[in-house]
Amino acid sequence: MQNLRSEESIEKIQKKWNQSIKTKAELLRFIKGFDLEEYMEYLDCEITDESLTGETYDMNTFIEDEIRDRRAARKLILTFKAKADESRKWLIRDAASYIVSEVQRIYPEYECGGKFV
Amino acid sequence: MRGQICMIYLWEILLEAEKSGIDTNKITFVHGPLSSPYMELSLEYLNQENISGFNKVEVNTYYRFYKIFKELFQPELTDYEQLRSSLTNLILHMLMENDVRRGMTKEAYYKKLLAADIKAGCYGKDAEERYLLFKGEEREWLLSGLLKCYKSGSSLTLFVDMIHNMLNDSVTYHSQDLPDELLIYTGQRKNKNLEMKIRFLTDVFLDIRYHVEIFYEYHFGIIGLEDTMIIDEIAMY
Repeated sequence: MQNLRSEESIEKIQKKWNQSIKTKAELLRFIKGFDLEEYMEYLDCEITDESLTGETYDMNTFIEDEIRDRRAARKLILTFKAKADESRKWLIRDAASYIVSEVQRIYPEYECGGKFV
Repeated sequence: MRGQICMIYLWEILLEAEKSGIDTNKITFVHGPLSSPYMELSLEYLNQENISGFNKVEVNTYYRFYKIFKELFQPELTDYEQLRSSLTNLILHMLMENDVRRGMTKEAYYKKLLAADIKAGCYGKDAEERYLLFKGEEREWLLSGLLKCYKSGSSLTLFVDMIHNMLNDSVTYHSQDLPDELLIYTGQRKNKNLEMKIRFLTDVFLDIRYHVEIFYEYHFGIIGLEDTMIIDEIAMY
């Protein structure tokens, strides 16, 4: 498992101007860019007001959001489908948590969580 | 070429061929011994606008490339006719492609890169299929829009622009009760292609917080606007 991102041209173009693009397609590309598809497949995202019972944990607990009130934030739930083989199974939850924590950093206005189907 | 009445230069053949989907390998260039000194191409008709049905194109090779071709077509030269003609064809194909590349802007390069990545599936399999539904000019403005999106961030304005580009009879409403709801009306009939294309635009250009309702053919009623309140032609909302 690595934290290297794939270097497609779109990734380079995105980094060049570094604008916030909060579209579905861009989110999918961002997640795909981690190249963790041997662990799980990203299916979809959903925004809800319901309370979150995510299956992932926050990996960036040391980064404090001092501007926003997290309790009032809406929830952004990413749905994954696990597809790792036996030898990697124990890492799935951590891999998903890593992705969700990275997504959380570009979507501070939502409280992000992951879910498996 | 829109607004232009005739084809003068070599590169216009390639642009025209790309637009009408003609394989340029099927076009043969020949040296035109009796061509106009004012035009590079000597086509059958002076005001010809397209090349469909013409496999052989006569070119005034001395127009810009005298240095290259001056030795090839001297009047007393009769040997190696086959070689000289296929060489001319080959050289002109290369020169034509060089011409078009020289006219490429930085934006065109970025657009090519974006297109290649979408086709490689970086937005997912569905988006890749939907992208292929956009053809020709539509694809051009789509990629321009996408580049704009990367340059200045995603925004509602850009999305509405893209929808208007595709459906020029469309009206986009932003709900006042629900700030995250958009309503799009188009006079066109509902069909699968159109639906898929709109889906692509919403996925690529619209922020995830918005929810989109699309109305095909029939408008929803707005009290006070007579045109939308015709019985049997009101969509339910």
